[in-house]
Amino acid sequence: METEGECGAERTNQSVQAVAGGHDGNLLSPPLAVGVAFSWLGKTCERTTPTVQEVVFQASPPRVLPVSLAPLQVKTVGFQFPESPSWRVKKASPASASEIAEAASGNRLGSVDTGVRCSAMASEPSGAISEQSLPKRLTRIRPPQEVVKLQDRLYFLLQPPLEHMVGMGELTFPVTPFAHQFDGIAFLFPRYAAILADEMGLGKTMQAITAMRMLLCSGEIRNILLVCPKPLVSNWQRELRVWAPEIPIAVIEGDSLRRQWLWRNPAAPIKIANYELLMRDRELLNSGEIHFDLVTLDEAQRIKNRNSATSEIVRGIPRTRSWALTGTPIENSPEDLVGIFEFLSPGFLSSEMNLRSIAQAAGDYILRRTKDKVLKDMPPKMFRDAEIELTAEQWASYQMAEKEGIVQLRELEEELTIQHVFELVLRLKQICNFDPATGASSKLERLVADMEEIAASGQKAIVFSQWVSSLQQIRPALEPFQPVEYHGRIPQHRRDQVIDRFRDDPDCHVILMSYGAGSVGLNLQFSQYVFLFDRWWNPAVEDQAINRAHRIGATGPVTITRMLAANTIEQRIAEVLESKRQMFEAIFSAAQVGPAGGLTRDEIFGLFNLRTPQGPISSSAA
Amino acid sequence: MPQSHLAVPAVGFLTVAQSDSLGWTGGYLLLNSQGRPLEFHCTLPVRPSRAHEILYGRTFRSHLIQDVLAPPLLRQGKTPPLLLCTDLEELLGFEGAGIEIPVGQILDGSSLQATCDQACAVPLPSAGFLRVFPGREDQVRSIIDQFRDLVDWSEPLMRIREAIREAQSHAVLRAA
Repeated sequence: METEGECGAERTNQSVQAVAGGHDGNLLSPPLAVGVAFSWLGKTCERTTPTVQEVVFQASPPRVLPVSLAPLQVKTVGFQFPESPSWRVKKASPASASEIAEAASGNRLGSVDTGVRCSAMASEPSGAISEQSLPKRLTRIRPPQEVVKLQDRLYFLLQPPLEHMVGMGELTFPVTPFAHQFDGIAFLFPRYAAILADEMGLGKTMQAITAMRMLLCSGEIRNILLVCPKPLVSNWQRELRVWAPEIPIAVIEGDSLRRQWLWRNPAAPIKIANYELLMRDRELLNSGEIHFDLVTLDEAQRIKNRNSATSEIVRGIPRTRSWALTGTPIENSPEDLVGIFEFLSPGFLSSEMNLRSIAQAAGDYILRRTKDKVLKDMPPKMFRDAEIELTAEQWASYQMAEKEGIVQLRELEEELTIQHVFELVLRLKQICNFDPATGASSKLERLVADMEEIAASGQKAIVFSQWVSSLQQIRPALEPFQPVEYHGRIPQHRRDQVIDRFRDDPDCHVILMSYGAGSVGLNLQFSQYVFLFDRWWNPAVEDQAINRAHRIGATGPVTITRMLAANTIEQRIAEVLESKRQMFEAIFSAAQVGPAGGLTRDEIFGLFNLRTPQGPISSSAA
Repeated sequence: MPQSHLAVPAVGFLTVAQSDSLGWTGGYLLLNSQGRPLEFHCTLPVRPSRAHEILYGRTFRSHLIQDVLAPPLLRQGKTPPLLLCTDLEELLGFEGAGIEIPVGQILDGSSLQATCDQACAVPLPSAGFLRVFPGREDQVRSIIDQFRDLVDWSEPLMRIREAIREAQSHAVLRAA
């Protein structure tokens, strides 16, 4: 700003020009023109026009940074599975379905060696399945550690849960398996080598059969060999009829020619053979001519001795998968387990390994549950009906006695009394226990086999019979388990000592007891196994006997084995008693003891279907 | 060599698993009428950048599912499914976008009540509903009838997530 002069004629030149530079440097506003008129003397001066000067701000233009988003790259990995379009299962015939229903309804609290619940499967039609019926627990098949390829591992993981397979689609079951049984099936299914070592009574048989069935139905295997002790062959047959009714089975038996044909017969995917028979057909089995996709050994402790002939033969059978079922994988020492593993996976374990190494190595191959661990899933009492085939000697004696006895009864005609019938029944029942001529007893063979397992687990068992003579015949075979006796022939003053010894001596694993012995106060609740060597007429008496072991405060579920000789009077009696029990329970509460205690006169006479020319002999007889 | 599944009726299940450490992984499972697996495909984990998240804003999730993860999975499948099931609402938009098969979102009863279009819900045999596009109800019902052995229609999605976990842990082990 310039000023001129002093008086009057001062002019003030004000020159201001503001340049506002935009981003391109152009003027955004015109120069200012200001008119000012003033004098420091107070005189009015002429208007002045200020001049505007330009002030340039030097500013660099802002930078532009493009932000680009790279597209997200996606890689995929995929697998196709060798899945059969459908299960290879034939629908069960109507007859089979009724057998299954009968099996389900006939067991109140259990089934043979299965420990399963009695509730029949609700095979609901499509669309009727409600959210409430969906199983809350889902058991998935887990790949074993030995499966390393991702595709193989995913194949197992992506299978439907076992609970969805059971009862839906093609696989139906007579009763719902327990949760631990689902786990066992899921354990076995993917494994090429496995030991199922559950405590007796938890259903090893059922779990093995179901896993086999699933493998067969899915086409993963085509033929199976099941090896078991001879007394258990009929048990396996029956279990297979219940749990896998659509699968044809063949029992290897008979003369050499027949056996050779049976071994080679492709029509039966499951073949059952006993250990003793393997010795006789050793040459054929080890020739390489026959191959099995799966060989399962029941009571696998039989091969714990690697040097035994049985062990050698079994190891020589050509196979892809090897399973072992045993309640006592280690009976005496870890060497026993090494012996079993020589069958499962030769060389995997060795005797030089210490205990810890063995446990670590074998961990993924063994599944063992004990009753106390699965207690919450188990009912307090588990019944298993052991239907046992008589030995050849027993069967011959039985048939002869029955035939002769019925003839004698018929000859009595009007003189026939119920006492006569009782006598015949008792005689036949005694033959079912022991052959009178040779002493042979298939029930005893079975009992000894079970006791081996019980004693090896450190458990105790009660064996009931209605005859003291039977108990005394049983005793010698059970000597390894240090049995004690408790019946009418034991003096009263010694009975307490017997009970004390049974309770306190860890080596005393079995007490032989008659139904009539004992008192209300007798308390044997530390026994977890009860064997009814022969059955009583009255279920109430049986229940009382059983309850000596199963009482409030029992440490665990009690397994009750009811032995009965198949296709004999024992089976007929059992059927009548069972139908009466069911009818009774349908009408009365469980707490009452009602009129359906034993057999009526009509039922007893009906056991032999006794008829005269006048018609059936009934209770009208004396 | 796996046998051809072309003639086998199949249902597809597709879902996405997300974890902070690994990112987003898609899984696609094809089942036969017994609920047995025919094919399984999964993506390697995708880790979008922060820029993606910011710039896509509220459309980020649907972009990831619809545009990034699902298409390559569906292209990989060899067996053409009759129906595609998912728990992701975003995939309902697939219909009409080049996918000719019906797409259904699996909902339980309470979730269905929260949506507006209850008229397009087809009940499932076991529990829940399948939310489908209008006009697809009859077609979807007849497909569901063919798969009576599929007890629980939401259960295969659990299998997918488990399989994704297995695949990821397998990859970690191999890398180690």
